[in-house]
Amino acid sequence: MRRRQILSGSATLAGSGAVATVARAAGSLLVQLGTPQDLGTPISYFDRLITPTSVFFVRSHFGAPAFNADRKFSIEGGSNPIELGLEDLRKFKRVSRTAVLQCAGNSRGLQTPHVPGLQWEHGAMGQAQWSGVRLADLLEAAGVSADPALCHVQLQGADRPQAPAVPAFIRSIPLAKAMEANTLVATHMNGAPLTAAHGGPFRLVIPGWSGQNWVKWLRLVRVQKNEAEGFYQRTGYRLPKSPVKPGTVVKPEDTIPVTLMPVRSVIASPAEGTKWKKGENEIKGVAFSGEAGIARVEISIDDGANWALAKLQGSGGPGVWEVFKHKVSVQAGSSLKILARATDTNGQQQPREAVWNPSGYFWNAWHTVTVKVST
Amino acid sequence: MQPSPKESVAEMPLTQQEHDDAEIQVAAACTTCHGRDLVAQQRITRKQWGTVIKKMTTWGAPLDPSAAEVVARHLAEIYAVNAATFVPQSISAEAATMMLAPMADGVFGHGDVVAGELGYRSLCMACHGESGQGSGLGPSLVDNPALFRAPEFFKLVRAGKGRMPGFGGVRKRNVADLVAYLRSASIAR
Repeated sequence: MRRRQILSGSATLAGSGAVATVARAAGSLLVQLGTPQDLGTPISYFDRLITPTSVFFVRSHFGAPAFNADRKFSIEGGSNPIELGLEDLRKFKRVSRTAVLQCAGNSRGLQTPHVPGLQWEHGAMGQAQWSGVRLADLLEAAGVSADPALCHVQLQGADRPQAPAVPAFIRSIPLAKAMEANTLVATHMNGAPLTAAHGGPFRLVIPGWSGQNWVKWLRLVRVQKNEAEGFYQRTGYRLPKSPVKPGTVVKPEDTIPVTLMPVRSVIASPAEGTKWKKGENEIKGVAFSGEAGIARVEISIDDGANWALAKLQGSGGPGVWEVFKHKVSVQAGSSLKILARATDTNGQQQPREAVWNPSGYFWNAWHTVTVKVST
Repeated sequence: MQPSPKESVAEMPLTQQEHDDAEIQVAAACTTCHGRDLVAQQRITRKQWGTVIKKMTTWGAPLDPSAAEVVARHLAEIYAVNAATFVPQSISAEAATMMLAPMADGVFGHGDVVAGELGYRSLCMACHGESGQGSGLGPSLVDNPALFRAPEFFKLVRAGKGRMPGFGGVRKRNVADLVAYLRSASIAR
């Protein structure tokens, strides 16, 4: 087959976020990668507090393992190693938390200069109500105490690398984080049992922290002295300790693990390239921050010359998104560049330009949407 | 595309033949573990492609080291840094779920594990590994959802896919046996 595919096309730079909107059928997802399944949520869904499970983004490194409702996971490293399945978890107190799940690499496609990896636009995030049991309660049952010599909790899921030379997806979190009241082993998502795609029968939920920590298809929890070994904890999912110039190769010792999500907001509507009618129109979206609530979301329709406060909805809090809405009156025939800028209650504000890092994590620059107003 | 100052000014652009040959390499080495769409959405430089290819070959991608440079140049050209942004296709929520959902075994249930092991060793082991754990030539079959979608798995074994040949003579009972073996506890976990 002779072909030479030169995708010269229009030089639409991903950094501007100005991808022409493709009409998407309701109830559909965006195929960022077909195999293994990596599916994004269409941006129009980011105008409500809860993302429906049916269109919630799907992400894994190796694809979901065969679903097994009888799966058990073990907890090791304490004085009383145990194995737990769904039935066993019923004996523990059930809790619920609403929290944002976002892939660390969400919006990587918008970082310039580009870096390799899944080139997500905005779709690798969602908010759901997660229910299950506290990891702390399970660790206590397994005889794990706050021993200063045991600082980390290794987490491993049942997903398997495609070949032996591919590193297994093994992560760890500090024991202190594992013991926090909000860190859950979840069995349910938006009121229904976790499906295969979303890590069923059980997965970690760590509000405020990025998705790679929310290990799916849980099969092993092990309390140990050190961070997990292996690529996906020691090399992957790490950020430079301080910002570096684009293109810099950063040594592992100069990196920190990717954990707390920075403040960000996303405009759900209008979609990029929308034609508004003159007069009153509404701008909607969501905003959140990993370690704090949202203090304010500001909207500009003149490329940042002037800002106005949007109204916020939802109880919010660290790792929980709120919906923002803002009405504007626009003149016929105008072309508008709409910006959204969130500030959290710690004073962290989205930057105009995202801080570049070698793996394209935590892109959180102001979201830009261009609309035209019909004459 | 103008060569960057770091590239040799005496370097010739790739010929059509070099592009075509590189494409054969990509099809054979890069789509065992993930779809072509992962490759197609990158917008990175030739140097970055070199680093990616090195990582992939370390992880088992069956690309000969002598081909790495031409493949990097090829990919950097066809997926140029300033090319149009990759636009993901849509999939309905239902179709997305159905891709993973188990199917009734039907005639593929009750296979013979021993016969399945024999069949596996003859037909599948060379690419899918001693114990089904995969290799650069074929992905892991351990705990693979495909084993619980037997009617579809049967079609795949018969027709082949990518660099997997079609085993056209395989019968339903053979696939029932393979599925029984691969699901069984005899597979190292």
